[in-house]
Amino acid sequence: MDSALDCLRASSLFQGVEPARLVRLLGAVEPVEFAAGELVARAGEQAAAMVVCETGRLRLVTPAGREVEAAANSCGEEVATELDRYVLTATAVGRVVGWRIPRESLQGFLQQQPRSVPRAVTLLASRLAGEKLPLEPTATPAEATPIRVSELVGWGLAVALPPLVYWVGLRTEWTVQAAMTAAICTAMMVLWVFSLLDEFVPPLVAMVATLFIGLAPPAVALAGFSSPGLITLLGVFALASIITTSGLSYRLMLWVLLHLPDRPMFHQGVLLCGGYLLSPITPSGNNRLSLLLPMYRDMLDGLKLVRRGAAATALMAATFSGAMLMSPMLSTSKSANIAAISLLPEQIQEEFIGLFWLVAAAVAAIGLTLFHALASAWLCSAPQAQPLPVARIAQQLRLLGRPTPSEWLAAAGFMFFLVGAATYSWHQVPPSWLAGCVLVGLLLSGQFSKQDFRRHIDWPMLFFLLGVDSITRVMDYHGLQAGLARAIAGWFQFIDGRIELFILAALLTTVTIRLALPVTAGMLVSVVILLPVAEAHGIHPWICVFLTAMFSDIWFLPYQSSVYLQVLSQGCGDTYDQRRFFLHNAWMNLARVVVAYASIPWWYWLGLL
Amino acid sequence: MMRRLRAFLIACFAVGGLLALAGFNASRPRLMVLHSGSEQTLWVQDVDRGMQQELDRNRRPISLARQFLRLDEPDLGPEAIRVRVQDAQRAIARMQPDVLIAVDDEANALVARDYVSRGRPKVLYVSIDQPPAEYGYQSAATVTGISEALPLAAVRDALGDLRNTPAARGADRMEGAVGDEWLPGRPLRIAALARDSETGRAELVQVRQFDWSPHELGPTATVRTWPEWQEQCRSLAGRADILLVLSYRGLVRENGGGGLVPGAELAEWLEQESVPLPVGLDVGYVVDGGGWSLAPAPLDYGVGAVRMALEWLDPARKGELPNSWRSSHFDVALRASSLRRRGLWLPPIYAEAARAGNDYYD
Repeated sequence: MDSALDCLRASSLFQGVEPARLVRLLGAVEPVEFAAGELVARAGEQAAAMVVCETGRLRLVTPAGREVEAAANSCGEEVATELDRYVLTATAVGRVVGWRIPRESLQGFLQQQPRSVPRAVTLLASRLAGEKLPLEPTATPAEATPIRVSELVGWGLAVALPPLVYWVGLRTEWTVQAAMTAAICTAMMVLWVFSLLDEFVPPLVAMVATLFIGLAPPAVALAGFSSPGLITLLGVFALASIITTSGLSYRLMLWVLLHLPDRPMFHQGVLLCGGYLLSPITPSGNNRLSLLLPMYRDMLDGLKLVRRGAAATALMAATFSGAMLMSPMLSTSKSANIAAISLLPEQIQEEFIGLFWLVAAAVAAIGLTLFHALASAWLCSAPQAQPLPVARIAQQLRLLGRPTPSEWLAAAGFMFFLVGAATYSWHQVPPSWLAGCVLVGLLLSGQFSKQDFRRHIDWPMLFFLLGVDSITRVMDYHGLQAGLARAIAGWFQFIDGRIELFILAALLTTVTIRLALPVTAGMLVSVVILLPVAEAHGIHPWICVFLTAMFSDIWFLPYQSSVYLQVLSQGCGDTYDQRRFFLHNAWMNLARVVVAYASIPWWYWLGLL
Repeated sequence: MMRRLRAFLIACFAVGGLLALAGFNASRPRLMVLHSGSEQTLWVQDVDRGMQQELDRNRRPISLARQFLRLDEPDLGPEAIRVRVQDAQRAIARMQPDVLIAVDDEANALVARDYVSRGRPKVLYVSIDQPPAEYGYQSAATVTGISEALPLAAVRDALGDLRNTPAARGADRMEGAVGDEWLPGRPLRIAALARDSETGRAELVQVRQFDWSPHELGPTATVRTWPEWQEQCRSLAGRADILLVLSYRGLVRENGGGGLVPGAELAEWLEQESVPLPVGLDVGYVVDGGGWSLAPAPLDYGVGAVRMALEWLDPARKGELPNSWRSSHFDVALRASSLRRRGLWLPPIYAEAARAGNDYYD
């Protein structure tokens, strides 16, 4: 077997492959022997195996009879390129002793080592061309990412802080279970604040730890996963996926562009309203942005807008606002909203999970849209340089042809969910179960396959949200929330039942927490802190959730907004004027505070205050 | 260097965290509940339900295990009992509980009493009819618990509340039954029957020691088999007005086998054949088909036992021994049709008490 390993390592296809991977392949190789002149592979025949020579060499000839290599040490690389038949004929030059690798085994190996496929293609191309082409490296050398000092500090705190909190808790006469819950939550917070692990891992760590020591029964520690939020998220993720993959969203964008007047205001309006339209069924600003950015690029190119010019900046501002402004305006437009609403009493959940959320947030939604329009007009007004390429858009629409069954299904699912949520008071079926029906419908139709279910459901986000929900319930189970509320009650005494001061408290709390935590975690932690305060001061809990949802969208530095980071990572950072864009963002931050105060009379009128 | 330091810190977090959690887990208080009966028994289920109620209120992580001696199973010879006792002892050795909650006399007589001199586990006896001293618990510093007191005073008071139902004087009235010549306030002759078991004998002692005046305690007996029970019962006609039905579960059909007599069969037979009015002192008597029972409340024992155990293990109490006590609560159960058939009537408060405990049958 040592000789087989050496032999494989000498072959061009396997050079540089980790020995551990090659060792697994050794289990499948078979020894072979060929006499001088014996045929090893014939062009046009089924490519069943690759052969690597240990001693002796092979003569490779094209079907036309051209000799491409007189002393090759392997043949049958066609197998690795997924060609069904041999391209070259191989004959033994002298006695050949070697190893045969069957097709199935080689393909199994390539699934683990996909970088060998382009290597095999290059090798084959080299032989056919008769010249040596540079081979792809087998493995990318691990990039030495520099270790941040903050990372070391974070891990140090993750090791030291939880036991310290536990010890202090016991010393201050907390119960054992409260001290332990606080220690676990501290570990979770440190992991988040220093971004030591992916966002969804800390709640998972906390849940497992809770169950490991029996800190709460499974019914409590896993409560998030038995909440209606699970079905809502699954249904909404599936619907968002099919709307994108079916091409429905793109077709709609093209159609709207074609039929609206060709003026900057309408171009921006298409992106803004497109984002708004996606909001009820796309519970992630990042997802909405990923749908809008291609349109932004198309418009940028089609209108031939000046890079970093005012018009391009206005278009980016509209794209960004389209993705973000409706986030707090609907229960399903932000995944944290779905998780936060499950913390409210059931009767409030039923009332707000439908369209009543939008009704209650109407003043804020209209206000933010007006503020956006004003900011765009003020900061980014510019004449239109080029007309919209109407002919090209019309051509694109023609090429798309008639809507596919998949698009019809996506449209039907969207309308079903939207109309169902709007008519809840009549049919009394909560939107969560409507989302479940949409999911089942998509699965039954076969348009949303098992692979789609695996690939297009944002499982890490789902685990993150439901994990945070579960941990919040564990905290509640041990009275930590009530304890927290008691502990910080003094800080919020100044509210004294006045909504104006509560808005200020919510703003300060959320913005401060958001300096350390990402949007979703920041919002949920703010909700956990502010809900008992709201209840103690007679303020409707939905208002608390709404304010934290809206204020958690406030950001000052790029690291605070994953949606903005996505704009940069998609290479759009140099297409608009960053200074003007940040001014627009600062204006919208201010607008969020203003619309919160402007909503007070509306909330009084609705009977929420 | 930085890379190594990071790897070291991550390892510290993972391994340290795991060890800390495992240590916490290993050190959390351990309770073992040792039942004399089997899981299917109504009494055991109700005691467990009470325990669960209290556990649901508890927030401190604890380890809890249950072991059942299942001494109410049929055809249980001394050898089988010995094996079950050994099973229980091995379970205790395996779990090393901090507190052993031994429910009913049998669990205490056969298992728990052996641990008194060892100091660990601490023993919390529940629902024992014998005096604790009988098991050597009187001066032990590691034993406390709840004794069972049959609600005999309540039975005596209730007998004073029984009245004839004039409307029920009809053809279906039982010949010679107590109701025929019922006179409120008249002294009654009381008899008692129990299965011959640790619990049955202890219950009978309580009945005999109780001051029944103005009534009079007549024949009392423990029996081993169903024919003996029937014979004893028939012999009471004309000699007793009231028959106290004590512990009867586990009564064998005949000597040397034949299986157990189902509670429903026994209750039905008593209601049909017994001339003295049967009054159950067992929690399941009315559920089995009997007419009226005043029985110790198993739920209350369960709640009380876990509450005492958690108090005992509370670090703030520094192991201070909770006071032992006698449960004074009891459950009322009523099957109105049985009393009607005997031409008897009880004030509505009894029916309402039975309804409150979901033990009222029309």
